[in-house]
Amino acid sequence: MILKMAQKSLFANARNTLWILAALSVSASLIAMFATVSFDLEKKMTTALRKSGPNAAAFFHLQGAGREAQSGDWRTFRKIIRQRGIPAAWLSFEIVTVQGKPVILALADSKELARLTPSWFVMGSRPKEEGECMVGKRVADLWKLRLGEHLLMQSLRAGGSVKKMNCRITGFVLSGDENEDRIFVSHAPLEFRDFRLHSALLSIPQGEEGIQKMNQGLHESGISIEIKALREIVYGERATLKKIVLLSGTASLTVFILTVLGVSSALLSRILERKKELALLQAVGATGRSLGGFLLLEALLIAVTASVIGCAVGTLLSEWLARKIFYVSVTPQWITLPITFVITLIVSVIAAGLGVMRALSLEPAIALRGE
Amino acid sequence: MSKAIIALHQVHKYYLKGVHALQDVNLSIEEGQWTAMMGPSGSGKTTLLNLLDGLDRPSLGRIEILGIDTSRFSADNWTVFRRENIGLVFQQFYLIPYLTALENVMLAQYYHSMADKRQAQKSLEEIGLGARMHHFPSELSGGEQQRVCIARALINEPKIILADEPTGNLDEDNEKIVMDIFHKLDAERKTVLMVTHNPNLGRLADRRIYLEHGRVKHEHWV
Ligand SMILES: Nc1ncnc2c1ncn2[C@@H]1O[C@H](COP(=O)(O)OP(=O)(O)OP(=O)(O)O)[C@@H](O)[C@H]1O
Ligand SMILES: [Mg+2]
Repeated sequence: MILKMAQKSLFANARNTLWILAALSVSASLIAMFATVSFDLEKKMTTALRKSGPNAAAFFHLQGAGREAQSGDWRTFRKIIRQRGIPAAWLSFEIVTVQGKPVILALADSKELARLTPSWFVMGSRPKEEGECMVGKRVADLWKLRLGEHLLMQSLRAGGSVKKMNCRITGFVLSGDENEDRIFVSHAPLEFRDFRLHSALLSIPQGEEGIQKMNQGLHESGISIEIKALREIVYGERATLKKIVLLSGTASLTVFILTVLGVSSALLSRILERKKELALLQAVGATGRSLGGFLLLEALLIAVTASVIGCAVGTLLSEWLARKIFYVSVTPQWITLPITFVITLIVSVIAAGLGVMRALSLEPAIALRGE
Repeated sequence: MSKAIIALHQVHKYYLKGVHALQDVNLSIEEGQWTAMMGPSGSGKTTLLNLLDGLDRPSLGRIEILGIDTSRFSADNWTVFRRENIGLVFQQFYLIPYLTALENVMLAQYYHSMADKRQAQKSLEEIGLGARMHHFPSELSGGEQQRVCIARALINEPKIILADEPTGNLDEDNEKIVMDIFHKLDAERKTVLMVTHNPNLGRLADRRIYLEHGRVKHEHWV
């Protein structure tokens, strides 16, 4: 009887019910989405990034080898990589000083580098032309650099001559790893092109297995270059991911709190609006407890419907979001259901409870008289 | 002399804004007695009934019903006491808008003990609403709504019936139906306290009480 009554009363106040339902569904879907993102996406994204990003880096393994031999080997290596069509970003390093302090300058083609470092977050843009540079976040923080500012780098060469390079900062890079300590340029002036240290970021097919095979091949051909699997890069991605999760978490939390406030006030005013009806139920024989039960049941009906809608919408939303932004698909996580359910339930029960207490604090005769 | 089923001792009721709605009302109503309460608008008739059904409380004084002092009743005590012993007919027809006529009656059964559809249907048929059972209050005329209220008040066979102008909004035919119901209640020796301006109904009463400015002005025994 009471269940039927609760249903009827909800249908009778359809507009109000829908309003609360909508708000509650939004909050439920946010919870579901955030739960899905934090439970599933992190795993998925890491693998996705592993596919598009680098999985190995190449270095010289013989420190003592002569410079001539080194550059010869490096050229051969580049040719091999290009022939096999392996995605690669070629980096050359030089130590320069900025305001008297040493820092590593990396020369790498921006397009190549961007392709292999999708997990990097660049504030501003990557350098395109000569005279432009991108600065690691930690370097930027150290010198309190700003976008658009000019940076003077000096390098001391063996001959005792000082070379200078001036560049405009187009972006800051957040990689979560040691690259935040570096300065990147895409093009360098001629006198600067004589870099001594080389390395490459590679995306080698078949992962660890492919890397091993490749190393073997290089060794057999007498090329003194070694390829190392990049496991530590995961750290950079993790850091970025954590930031994404944190950011979306804060946003969802804010929206969630707002909807909770909205829903509570809607539920509350719904109950207060019905003072007269509640007084009548009391007059007909409903005790405070059975009235509370009735109103809670109503709230529960809404909450249950909202969590079901919210879970569905939230999962779809996270799927869409993941596809749109990270190009991966998420698996619906069953754990989000009970979480969404419980949170939605708690919110509506608290709101309804407050409403009941307020509504019952009035003498029924006065409530019945008042329009 | 039969015992007092309702007794008021020096009852006062003040409202906010300095309204003194009831002043020193002393009243004793005996079991099986039929009392009509009369008086001009604003004299405190509804206020008095609300004190007797526990929807409101006296500011001063004591009310005993069925020999029980009600002054210490909590809201829930009152609710339980009311649904066990008192049938209420309001001055306005208060029905739950989203329940049908039948469901409104069954609700009172539900809170009292348990819903009994048969019995609820029968009570509506008796009152001439057999064809209107599944209508919502908004689909019923004023007289029909009033009769649903009466059916609801009587469904649990209360010992005491408090009715606030039950024929106030009815035409002659409907009035006749309601009068017949009250006739029957009288024959069953129920205790009825009824506010009415209707002389036909007033004539049924064993006793008439006149209220004025919140005081019992005079009484008339038949
Ligand atoms: N909640 C309230 N606050 C202030 N005054 C009130 C309140 N309820 C009733 N009154 C006043 O108390 C007095 C008695 O009201 P009551 O409703 O008992 O009159 P009544 O005899 O039933 O009149 P009617 O025949 O018009 O129904 C009136 O003057 C009314 O204005
Ligand atoms: Mg009145």
